[in-house]
Amino acid sequence: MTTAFGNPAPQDRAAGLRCAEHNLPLEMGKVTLSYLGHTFSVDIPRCPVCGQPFIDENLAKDRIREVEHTLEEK
Amino acid sequence: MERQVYPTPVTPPALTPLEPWIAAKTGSSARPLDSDVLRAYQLDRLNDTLCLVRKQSRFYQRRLRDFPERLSSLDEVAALPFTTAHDLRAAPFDFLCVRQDNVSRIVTLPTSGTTGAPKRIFFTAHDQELTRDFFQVGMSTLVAPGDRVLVLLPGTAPGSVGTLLGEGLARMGVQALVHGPVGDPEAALQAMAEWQPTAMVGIPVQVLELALLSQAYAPEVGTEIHSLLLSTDRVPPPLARTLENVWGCRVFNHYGMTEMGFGGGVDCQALAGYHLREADMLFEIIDPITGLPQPDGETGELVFTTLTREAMPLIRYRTGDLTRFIPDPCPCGTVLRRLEHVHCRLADGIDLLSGKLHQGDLDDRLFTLEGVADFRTAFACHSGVNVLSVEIRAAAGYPQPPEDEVMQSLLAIPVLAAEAAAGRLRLEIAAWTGDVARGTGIGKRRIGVQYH
Repeated sequence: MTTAFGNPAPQDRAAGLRCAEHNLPLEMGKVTLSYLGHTFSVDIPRCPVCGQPFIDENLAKDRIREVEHTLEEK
Repeated sequence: MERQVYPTPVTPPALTPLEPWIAAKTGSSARPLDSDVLRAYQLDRLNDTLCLVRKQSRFYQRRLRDFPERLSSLDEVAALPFTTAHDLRAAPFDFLCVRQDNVSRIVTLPTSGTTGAPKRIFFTAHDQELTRDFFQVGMSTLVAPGDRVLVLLPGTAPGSVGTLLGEGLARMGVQALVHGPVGDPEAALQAMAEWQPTAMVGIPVQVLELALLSQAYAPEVGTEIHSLLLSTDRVPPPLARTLENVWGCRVFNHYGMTEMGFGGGVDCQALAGYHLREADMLFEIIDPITGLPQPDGETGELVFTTLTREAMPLIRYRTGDLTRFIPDPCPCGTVLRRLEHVHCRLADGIDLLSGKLHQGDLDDRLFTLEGVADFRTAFACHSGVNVLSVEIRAAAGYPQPPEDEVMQSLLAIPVLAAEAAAGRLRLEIAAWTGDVARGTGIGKRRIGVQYH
């Protein structure tokens, strides 16, 4: 299943991902990221036990990079 | 633009504190600093930097592949290739010489217009310390323990320029209040009234607005200010004169950019040109067309090479700023060179048939008019006739300057007079009304150009 842009639908983004430490499938959940004194939260796959998140390349290169640029003012 | 004319100081101005600081960095105990010792030190650090970037920087591995690994004299730096803003935008991570873990702060410089990806500059903790250290020494030119400095530069995020400035001042035993850029002039004036600074650091037009406001509404505010340090943009001489007259203070110019690690050079008490961080950067003036070094005293583009930076060393970075080394020794008695206050940015002039028009040409005329706090311009071509629209913002408490005075002021600029006389240019003057959409004010003021 995909969204209009061909990205996997949210509930599918955790599919196939497992936490190496706990050998459990990752589940979608809210993760708080903080940088330069600001916080923002994203819904991403993470381990239900240790919380280890999985940040895929698209997320890093799009939304997170945009936020970085905005916060990294002089 | 007015060629900078520096007033003759009345008493011998104190030696710039940059000289003993740079001497100490070279490891030499000889005083005064010996220029040959400085150059030998710079050559050593330059060779160290070349070695570092060849090992660690993907960009310089490619760019320097066909060039000598070591230089045997500083003159040989002129044979090395340049680095440009475009290079930085294209692949910022290719400049990184340390693991990302060791990057303590990244500064992203917003794009101007449609130039694509922004510039991102990386700093390690060591790099930030170089900046903090310069800020401490540079500020000691104008303040001492007991002073209170209001810093009107960004200070919200850790490692912001205002934050580093505050930290540098604190080390000197000087109190600093990092207010941030002036988003609300009345609130800033209130902060001044409550805190009573003896010095301030800020952006030229923002500090001007505070001075004009205080003159109109609160003349008792700012009377304790003995010095101002202006940075981020060119300081039009009439703007500096207004500040001197309103607060009876001295106006120091600072020159720097994020690519330099914020700090580059600062006036000494002679107020006659910047002395530079020559132990941390090698500065050159080149002919912007040919790329060849200019003889000393000739105007050209400023280029710098970092000598002590870790995360993102830069080799012969073209700043895009036009200036020159002043040939005469500084009245403060230093052996260090002086860089003339930057004339203009190379890319920002408008080409008209009679010559170039720069933002500074407009600044130097319009800031002589009473009460002018700022102005914005738009340049457009309508059916073969160029139209320069100028909107003037008078500070609160001042009337709009009369249109004929503004017109006369603009026509005192030779290139505008020539274009108007030839029937190729129309000037439209209006009041800049409505809410002033204040950004941080960090960007340089420039002539707005509309293309149809």
